[in-house]
Amino acid sequence: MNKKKIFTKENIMPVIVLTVICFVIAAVLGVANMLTEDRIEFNEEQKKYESLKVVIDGTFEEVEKPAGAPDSVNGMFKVTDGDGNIKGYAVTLKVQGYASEISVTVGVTPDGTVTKAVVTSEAETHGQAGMANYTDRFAGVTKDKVAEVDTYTDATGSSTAIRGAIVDAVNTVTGNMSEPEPEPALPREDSEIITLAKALLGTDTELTDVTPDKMEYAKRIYKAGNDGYVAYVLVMSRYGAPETETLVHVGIDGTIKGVNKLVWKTSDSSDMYTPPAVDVVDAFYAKLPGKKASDLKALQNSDLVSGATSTSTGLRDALVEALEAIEILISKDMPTPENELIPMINSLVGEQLELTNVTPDGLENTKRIYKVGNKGYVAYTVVMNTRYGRPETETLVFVGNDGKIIDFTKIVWRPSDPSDMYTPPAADIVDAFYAKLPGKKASDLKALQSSDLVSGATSTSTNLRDALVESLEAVEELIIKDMPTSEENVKALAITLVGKDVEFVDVTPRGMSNVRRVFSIGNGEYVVYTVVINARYGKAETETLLYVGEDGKIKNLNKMTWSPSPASDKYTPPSEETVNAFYAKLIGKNAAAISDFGATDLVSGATNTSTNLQSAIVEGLEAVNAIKAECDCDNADYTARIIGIVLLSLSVLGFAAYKIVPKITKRRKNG
Amino acid sequence: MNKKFAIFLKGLIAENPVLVLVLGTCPTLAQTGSVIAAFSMGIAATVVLLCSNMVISALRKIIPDTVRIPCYIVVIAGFVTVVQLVMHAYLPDLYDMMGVYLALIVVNCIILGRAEMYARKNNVLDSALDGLGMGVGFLIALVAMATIREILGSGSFAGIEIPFLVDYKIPFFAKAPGGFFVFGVLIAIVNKIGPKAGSEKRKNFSCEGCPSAAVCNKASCDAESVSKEA
Repeated sequence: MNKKKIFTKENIMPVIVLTVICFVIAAVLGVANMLTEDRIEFNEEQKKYESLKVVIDGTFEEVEKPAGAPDSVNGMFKVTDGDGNIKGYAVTLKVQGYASEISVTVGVTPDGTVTKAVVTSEAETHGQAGMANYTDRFAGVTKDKVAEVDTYTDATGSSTAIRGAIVDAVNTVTGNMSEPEPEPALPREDSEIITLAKALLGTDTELTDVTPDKMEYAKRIYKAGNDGYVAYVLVMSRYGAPETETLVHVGIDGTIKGVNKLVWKTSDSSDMYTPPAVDVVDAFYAKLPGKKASDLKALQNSDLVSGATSTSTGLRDALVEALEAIEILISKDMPTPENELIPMINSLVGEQLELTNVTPDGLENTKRIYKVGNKGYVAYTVVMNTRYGRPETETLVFVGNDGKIIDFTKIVWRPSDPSDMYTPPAADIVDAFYAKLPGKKASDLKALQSSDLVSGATSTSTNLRDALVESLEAVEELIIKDMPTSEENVKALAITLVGKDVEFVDVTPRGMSNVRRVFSIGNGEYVVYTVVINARYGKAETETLLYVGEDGKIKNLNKMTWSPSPASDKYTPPSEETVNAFYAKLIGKNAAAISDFGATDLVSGATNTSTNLQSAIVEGLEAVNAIKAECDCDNADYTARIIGIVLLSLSVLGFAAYKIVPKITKRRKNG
Repeated sequence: MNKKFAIFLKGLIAENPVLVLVLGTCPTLAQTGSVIAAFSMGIAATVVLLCSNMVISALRKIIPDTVRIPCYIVVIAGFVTVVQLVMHAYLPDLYDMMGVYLALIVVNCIILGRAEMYARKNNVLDSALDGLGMGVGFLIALVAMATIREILGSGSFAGIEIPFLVDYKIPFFAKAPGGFFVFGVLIAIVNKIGPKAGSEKRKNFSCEGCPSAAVCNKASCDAESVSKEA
């Protein structure tokens, strides 16, 4: 074959044709995917609710179960029909039956009528057939008749439990929540327990009741200042009398420091049974001090009281419950008590402002977050050193309304103790690290390199950094939530601004300084709500609602608040026309155009306010651009992948067509 | 007009893709356990066959011979994916039921076979009729097989239980061996009652005896004889 003739029409056409066909098919698939994507996603979403469709059919949406709903309620799902009207609720419950836990799914209409109930899992002593028939009795029963449905004769225990579950479901839907049952009285008065606890402690410290909810045995847990905790543990016998009553003193390290055997009562001595001797029992109690929850759990049968195994096992389990509850309390506990913290916060902030405790749940190291007037937030973080059982760092950070650290107080910095092997870093190195904190946001701290941390105390400073990131991110969430205008009102204003009813999808990015909300409203359009807080007065200086078009330019805006410093002898605020002219200039501009505004474009006489507003708006528009870019990126990635695959397959096919096929044909012809 | 109709009709029995040409055996065996699955497989394959036949026929003068197979596969795979997306979106239950066999339509021999044997040599209308005929033939064969297998094997028809039979179901028919068995019996019946039955006795089981010999112009026979000569 002559090499010069390789690019002939016969050689090139196949490549072009195959390429074109590939592109056309890829385009067709792209369109098909675009048209079906949402629907497919919806189908996949609804598949999760397949098992619920048996009791009530429709479109499912998981909702949070109302406060005060019975414990048996596992999950609750709102069911709507095709037009979005509420058809009812599907409620999943788990109750204790006769021999096993029974899972029940109940469909309930909004007025409390049961559509259908099914038992989804159980291991009761009879077949499921009878149970299935039993739940059929509830179909169509209205809320006032549910509790009167007869139980199933062969399985009264199981069917009573199922009926209870269905009644719970109906009550949850209709909002008819019962009051929690009053706790039965303790065999001792609280005052008596406190006196006994003080006797056990040997000091007269103030005791604070810190008993958590839903304790089965640990009826009272008191905090005794720095001495730790005292728990009063009660185990009832099956005859309804106290079997054991015990007071335990637990240190702040979670180990038992002392025990008071108040009551130890096994079954009475009889012909059949001789209770263990007192010294055997006391030997068991004597084993307790120095033990933690995990040590107690690890006790062998031989460590318990022989001759009273059941009683001592019951006591052991009850003590474990108390110790574990105390471990949780210790983790929540603050090494520096609140009354000492508040003066520190005031000196950190520089003035005495109203402090509101806004600590969210679920934080590990952030013990407290206070909202400081309108100036921002102060977070108190504690990192415990697990090896020494003491706080490694305790830090107060003052975070502004823009999520950046304004200032900090180093309460404790205490890495491992110096030894032959280890020299802690010098104080000035540590201080240099702390000095880096002001002006940083959560994302900045995350980006810190190990060279930015404290060499010689890498673990301590990394822990501190992580704890601060946790605090700052929590504060960012709080900032987002904290809006001068409520979310409903913002949405209402946005609807007026956009001029049509739209669906708001909250896409607010985190770590924004002034942007409080970004809503996607479809068609590539967004609504941005910005708030600038006046640092001096602590109130909103400007609040602005922007309607951002597909092209990233402001289509319209709502001047919600414009309040620079109030007028005084020294200061006259600009006239309303000047201000409105400034706002009018913003419309039709994108982020770049607005950030290019010069001094003359701003509001003379309110330069600060308008500069702040300018940067807030630019931030908002850039956030929108970033959100859009994120989506475009994905598409670009997808396209690139398709092109890559097409090119790869083309080159393989081309090679096959021009090198291999002719050879074979040639060989055949020759052969 | 009659001639055109004949193109459509031949796919039903005379050249039934499954029972006479013995193509597309995999979905035939896998999807005939229940009538609903068989029916939806038949419809999906018919749609793909119709569309791909039309497109390939329309492009028959543009597609160079050397790359025709990749071109056909791209077109077929494109239509299969569209059908897959549409079913996933609007018939999710059927989509789940058909599972991987929906995607496997891409490599269904009937579709590639019709493109290679018919669509690339005939005009768009004829190819469409051929595709439709073959598709319906495939559908009929699948449903016939599924009816037998489901009634005997599961005692139901299209999921509706048949009172007496449900107590005496023969699980053999619901399993793969039963599929092969019913398949064989059906081929035998069609061979016996088919229009050509008796008129033309098979001389041998090589190319001349092949029912689609007329369509492929004995191209493969020639190649075979050529290679034998060589």
